[in-house]
Amino acid sequence: MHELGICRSLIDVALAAMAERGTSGPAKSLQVEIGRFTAVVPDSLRFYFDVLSRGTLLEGAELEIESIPLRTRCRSCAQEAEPELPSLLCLTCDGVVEVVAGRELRLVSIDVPEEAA
Amino acid sequence: MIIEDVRNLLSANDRIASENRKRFARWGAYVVNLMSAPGAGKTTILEQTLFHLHDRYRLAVIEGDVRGSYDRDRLNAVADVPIVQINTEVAYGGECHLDALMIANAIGDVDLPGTDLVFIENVGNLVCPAEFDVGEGCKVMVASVTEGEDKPLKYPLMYSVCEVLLLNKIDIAAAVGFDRAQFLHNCHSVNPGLTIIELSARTGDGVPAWLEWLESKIRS
Repeated sequence: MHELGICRSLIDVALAAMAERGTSGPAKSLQVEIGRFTAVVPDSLRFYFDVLSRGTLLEGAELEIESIPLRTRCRSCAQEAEPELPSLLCLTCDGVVEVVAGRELRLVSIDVPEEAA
Repeated sequence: MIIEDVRNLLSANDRIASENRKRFARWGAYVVNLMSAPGAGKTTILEQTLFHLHDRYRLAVIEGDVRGSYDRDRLNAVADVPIVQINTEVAYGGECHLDALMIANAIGDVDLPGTDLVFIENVGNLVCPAEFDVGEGCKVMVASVTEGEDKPLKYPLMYSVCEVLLLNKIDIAAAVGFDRAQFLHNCHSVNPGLTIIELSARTGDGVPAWLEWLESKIRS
């Protein structure tokens, strides 16, 4: 349920980016990346977006969410993997891995139609 | 027009967390962010901790709850320690976790220059608090044997972001059929570097190891 706070942040960040570019909107769509190794449920984010964007330049915009798989790299043998299970050990050598993808929570771009920009 | 503007959605939180961290460092206060599922024993562990350390160190607690001050009242009964209560229902939409702004607002009420150790008791929840840096020195989680040995696999994010795990209620491990070896194996698989301290906040078994860990942090 903390998607509420994250959605507020998304809207603040998007409106600030539009203001910096001097666009008066409205936006058509927002491209967002959500890693699978985060505590964010995309449907919940969409629900809050529909509610919180009302009355802003983002109202009615499509929230396009790309889900980024968890990707790890072993610190010992450098083997990369996309583990399905939550195990964060290297499947090859049992070494400790680092997460190289899957923790994303970011706004990538905003599509504002030319006539509105 | 496509506005290419890659921004982290938690950047606002992380910026405030970094300011909190600088404030804590300036005052020399070490900050522990204590997280767990509801009922794992955070408050009972804090009761033990305050009881044993309040004579030797200057302590403060930031209590996070959706509502009520039950935990604050329990801690007040143990030791005379400043406690700031955050009720997320009152000012923060009933949020299920503490974030950096809530802590920034709360630390205005803590006498930081006179504090060695600040405990933040987060809202009981194994999901959301894992995502929010609040500016702590260390994330510590409590797991209790009653929760079962599979929880590291079901909540890998929380288990992987913590540096220390306090395994609580070991006095009743046999009664609830807790598979200790499997639990430790599961912890290792999601967080190989995790420091695990086994204790019972009720009987006091294992608590000295936790106090020693805290004292090593205060001294460093």
